[in-house]
Amino acid sequence: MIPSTSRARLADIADELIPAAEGMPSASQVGVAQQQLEVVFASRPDLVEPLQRVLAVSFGGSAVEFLEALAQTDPPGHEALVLTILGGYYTSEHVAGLLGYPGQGATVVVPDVYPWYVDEGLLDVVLERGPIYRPTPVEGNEDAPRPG
Amino acid sequence: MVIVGAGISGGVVGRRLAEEGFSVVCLEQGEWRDRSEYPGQRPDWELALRKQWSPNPNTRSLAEDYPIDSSASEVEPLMFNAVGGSTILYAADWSRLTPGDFRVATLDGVGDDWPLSYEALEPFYDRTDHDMGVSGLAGNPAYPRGSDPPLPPLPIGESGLQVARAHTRLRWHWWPGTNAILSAPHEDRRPCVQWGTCMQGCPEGAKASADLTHWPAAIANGAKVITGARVTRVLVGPRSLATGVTWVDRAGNESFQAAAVVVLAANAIGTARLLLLSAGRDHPDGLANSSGQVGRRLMMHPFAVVTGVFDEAFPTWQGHVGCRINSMEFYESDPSRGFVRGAKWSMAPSTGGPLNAALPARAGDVCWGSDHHRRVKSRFGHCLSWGIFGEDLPAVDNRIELHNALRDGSGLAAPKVSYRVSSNTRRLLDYHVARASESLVEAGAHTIESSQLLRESGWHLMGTARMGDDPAGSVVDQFGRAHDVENLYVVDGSLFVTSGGVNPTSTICALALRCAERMIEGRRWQRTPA
Repeated sequence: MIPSTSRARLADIADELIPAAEGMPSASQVGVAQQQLEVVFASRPDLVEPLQRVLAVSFGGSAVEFLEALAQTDPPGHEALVLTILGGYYTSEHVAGLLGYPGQGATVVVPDVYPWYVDEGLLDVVLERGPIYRPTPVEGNEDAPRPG
Repeated sequence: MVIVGAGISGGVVGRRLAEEGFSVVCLEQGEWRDRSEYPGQRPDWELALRKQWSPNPNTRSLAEDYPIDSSASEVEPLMFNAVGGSTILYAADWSRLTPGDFRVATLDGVGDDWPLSYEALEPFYDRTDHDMGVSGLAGNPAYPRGSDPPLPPLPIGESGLQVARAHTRLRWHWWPGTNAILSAPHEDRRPCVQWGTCMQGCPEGAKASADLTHWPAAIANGAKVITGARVTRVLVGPRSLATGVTWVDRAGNESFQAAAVVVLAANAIGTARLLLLSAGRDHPDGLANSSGQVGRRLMMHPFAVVTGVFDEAFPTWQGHVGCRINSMEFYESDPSRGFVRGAKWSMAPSTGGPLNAALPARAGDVCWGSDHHRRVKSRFGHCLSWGIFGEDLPAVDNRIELHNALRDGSGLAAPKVSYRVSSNTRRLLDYHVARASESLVEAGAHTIESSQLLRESGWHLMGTARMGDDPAGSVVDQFGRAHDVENLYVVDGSLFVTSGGVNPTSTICALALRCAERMIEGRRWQRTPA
């Protein structure tokens, strides 16, 4: 779907945008132009065509300059390149693990019928002030505003 | 009865009418969506939410979606087309309008008063709170003392607590969030387990959506939901009575559904579009449009986000998305601020998963190169946000029209949205962003990032077939019945006279139930075409 020359170009661009630093791997080290590319395309097949298009563009500047140019000339291509790189990087289990992100998951919660922060007095200031809504005439007794 | 649209307003009406033995047929252009489809349980969920599960129909471009020309709008209208409608993807932040929201003209000299009061709607708020399974804490002084929410509040978490303590120090209002999300089992539904993906569909079914809370009960009482059915026009016969609707399936086959009463529940864009599409010889400017108000006064709640970046770590990818805590400190008008009306703030975790920390959909920027990792690490699990919905005053030129060239997959004219944000709203958001920044700094944020007038924020569609007592200035009466066509009802957000500054779904539900009760009361005297 994406030829090896284009994958190599994608890896170069991706590594410039996400280099190895701060204890984190570079984009190509987690396979942004290899196996993670398949993860992205499986989720977002709509990105294939615009990514192919932008990877075929010759550009002599830096990766950031390339992105800036694409944002002006080819917004869908710009979005495809950004999402492919970031989406591939951050769906990597290795990267998620380094960030301490366990993925979305279920956690049972037990609600307090009378929450402890009420006992702690955290709402006392709010309650002591009384109603803060603006009074309006009550139907049937237009002269009698509700307590305000 | 035929109901157009199986979202929450159609669901409320369909369930109630079916309970009373009415013959109910609902036509829905979308499909039933299975919870196993929802992307929140998959590692790629943050990619899918930007396309297949985007709230923007122009981005999704699914067969059930219709295109919207939003080139003349400062805000993108958002919606979801399915049984359950936009409640599939909403945050379920469940706020009522305040009493003053119904009396904007009287109190502030802007907009119009509603033809009904908070007190008239309160019993219906209470009933729909129960049907949805609303969780919250009673006694919020931003509202009149009324019935308790049926379920206890969801946990506010360490993040909510940190900001709540800041508001206590500031002596500013805060209150635990009220959400249409179960904190305990309710009517055969399981409670929230904090997936954190409310806005991509709740995998647990704990978030109230009409496909769970209303349509199964309606169907059990005999209602029929036809999916993949796009309504093309409302037909009107002798005596200016609606006779039914025509609709097309995905293959383009046209059918006619006869009805004694037609109920439009297709949201403030879809309903106005359908009324305009139903123009005829006797009503060339659209059905029920003798006032000229159909499609006008669209309101979408311009939105701002203020994000605080903290040194402390919070599991911000977990939890209910709608609202941990809210603040209505600056909700009511204060002339000294230089604008009228106000906004409610809702606090939510702001970063979702790591992709959103790297590519923020709201406040914040993308950072590349050697600083990329430092930036993402400082944001992921370290950001809390106030979401600010400012009251959107009605303007006649903010409107839906039929596009003269753009067509949907069935060949119908697409809606064209014209929408400009008023100077009052801009001043309002400037003020609120400044105050919300103070809130988060007090809570300990070391950096503040904000965005206002976000383009992709038109979740709240209101006001294109407004209610009123005067047929010259409104489309329907206070019970949703069209002034021009007495067996045609509108029951969705189109009814809103003004927008308030809170999430509208609670009010949409209460209004829809009130309309349904009126239909039931009037069943003996309702004129029908038969």
